[in-house]
Amino acid sequence: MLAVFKNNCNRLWEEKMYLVVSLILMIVAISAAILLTAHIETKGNLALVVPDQQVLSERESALMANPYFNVTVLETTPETSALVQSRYDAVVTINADGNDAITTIKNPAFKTMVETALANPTGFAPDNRPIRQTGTNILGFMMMFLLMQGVLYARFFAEDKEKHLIRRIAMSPLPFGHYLLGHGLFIFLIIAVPSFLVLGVAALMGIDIGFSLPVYAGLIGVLALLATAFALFLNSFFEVADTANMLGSAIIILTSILAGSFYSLSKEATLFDKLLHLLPQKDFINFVNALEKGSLSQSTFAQLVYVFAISAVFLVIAVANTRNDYLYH
Amino acid sequence: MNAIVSVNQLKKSYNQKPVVREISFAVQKGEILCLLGPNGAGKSTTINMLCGILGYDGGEMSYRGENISSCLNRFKRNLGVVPQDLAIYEDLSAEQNVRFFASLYGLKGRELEEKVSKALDFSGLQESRKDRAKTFSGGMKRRLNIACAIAHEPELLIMDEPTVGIDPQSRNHILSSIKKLSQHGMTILYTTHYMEEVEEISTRILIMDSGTIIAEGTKESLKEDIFDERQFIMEIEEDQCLNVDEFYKIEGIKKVEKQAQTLTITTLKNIENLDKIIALVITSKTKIRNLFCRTASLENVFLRLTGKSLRD
Repeated sequence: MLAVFKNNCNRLWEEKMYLVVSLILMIVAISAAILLTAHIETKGNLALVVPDQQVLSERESALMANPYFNVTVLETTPETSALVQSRYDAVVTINADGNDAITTIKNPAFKTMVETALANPTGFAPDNRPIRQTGTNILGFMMMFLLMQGVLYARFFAEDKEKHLIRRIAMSPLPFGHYLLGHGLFIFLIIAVPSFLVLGVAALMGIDIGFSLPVYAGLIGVLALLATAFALFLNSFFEVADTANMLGSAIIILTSILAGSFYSLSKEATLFDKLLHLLPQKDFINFVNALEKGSLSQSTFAQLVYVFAISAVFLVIAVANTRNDYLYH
Repeated sequence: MNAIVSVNQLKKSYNQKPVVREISFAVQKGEILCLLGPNGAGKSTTINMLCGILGYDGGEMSYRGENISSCLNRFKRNLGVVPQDLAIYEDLSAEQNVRFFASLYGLKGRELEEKVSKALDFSGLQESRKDRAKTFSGGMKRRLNIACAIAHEPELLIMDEPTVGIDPQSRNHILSSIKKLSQHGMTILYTTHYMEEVEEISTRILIMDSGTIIAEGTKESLKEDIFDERQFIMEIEEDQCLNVDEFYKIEGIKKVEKQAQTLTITTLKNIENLDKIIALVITSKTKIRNLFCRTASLENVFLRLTGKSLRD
């Protein structure tokens, strides 16, 4: 097993650019996650239209003091283009009779939220805000790259198949399980260690990364396990390295976007949303989100177990499939 | 007999089409056993089944009298395989390649380094040991392919067409290396469709065609057993007195041809008549400049056995 691991390290050393590019992508992903977390947490922008130099009521003054909104008082109603350009999220017009009208191009849920805020501006706080926190965002952004790295580094295994080296290895006394374990360990560590080090450096620089480093070690470990299992699973079906690489990358990009790696596509319990839970990325990110918000429950733990289970299934199929192709005695 | 490996009634089919048909043979200690046959004869399939990377439909294989399945690890430790396709890491150096494959056989530390160095020496790659394999010529890659298989000093070395597609110089180097390995006591099972290689290195030959072993023996015995004729080629001084018809009076003579200054006499090989032939030529006052006996080649043997040329 160690011979295979060391050999892969030698092979990687001859192709250092892969490692460098992976590290750069990881740093970019983490930076983007941190920056976008800050952006997502910005307040809602409201235009409060109070015509005819009308004096603000107590309710409207309370709305202006609400920490969840930036309220700009205007005398005239802004153009609709201001909404399109996202200068304002909603325009609240106070009529002469004291009633208000809300105009927004955002979804009805947002309009309801503004109505609630107007009805009770002092006590208003967004209910169960869907915004992800820093740690969840970082892991969400890293997830796709980590999974793709799995496929990238599994190319050594794929090349062994493509160039018939695996047949030669299968003829040696090295137990076949050790051979696959050597590849698996290599992929796992080459995914997990550099990404953990990048986060470690970020933490040392005083950047808020959401979770503590030990928690990150565990969570990255889960992702690296999933990436390793998926990469070996996929490559066990193909003889040509490029085929597995291209197909794997396409699957990972599509499923990661659908699973809401970067931004949750569905917030409602629709059938689509339920189907998305088949994707381990979705379950992982939900678990991480709950962990960061401190709202872990039995169902979120079940989601983590699902990620482990699907990784195990991938690994078992990969091992069985490869053994079936190359071992007969 | 001291068989290292025995194969008994081994068979294999692909999609109902038999490619190996109940073949049996044994590899004896210290020999260079050549498995000769055209492409598609079933040689590589047999080798792959023996090495455990291809399943088989029937029969059995044993290593030193024990079923291979029950002593697989011991068998593999004593086995070296040179695959037909180059199986080396092109991005790694020759030394890294040999070291990796040798380490799969449990070698480590100083012993590993010594054996790697020895294998590189043996393959003539010591000076290029730090160079990446992808910078090597085809012949050097083939030699590296062999070095990776011999570093752990196996008892049995299986070579599956190791000289395909290389230049004559590298081929000669490989063939002389094989003879050296044999002299050092290594047993070799060598598959090829090159007749001249078999002529040069074999101590015993199995001729295979369409999944069946059609002949077995040393190169001499195969020629002896299959052909009942031999040819005497005589270079003579031109002489009008020599009457070709006179030769047919000698017992065993089957055919006499005279072309310019060459006389070709085909005779039954089990009848000793050379003295009479020479006497007839001398009596005709014809000088003999040169005389040699031509026996059948393996190509002739194969042609006689299968009705087709080896390279058809």
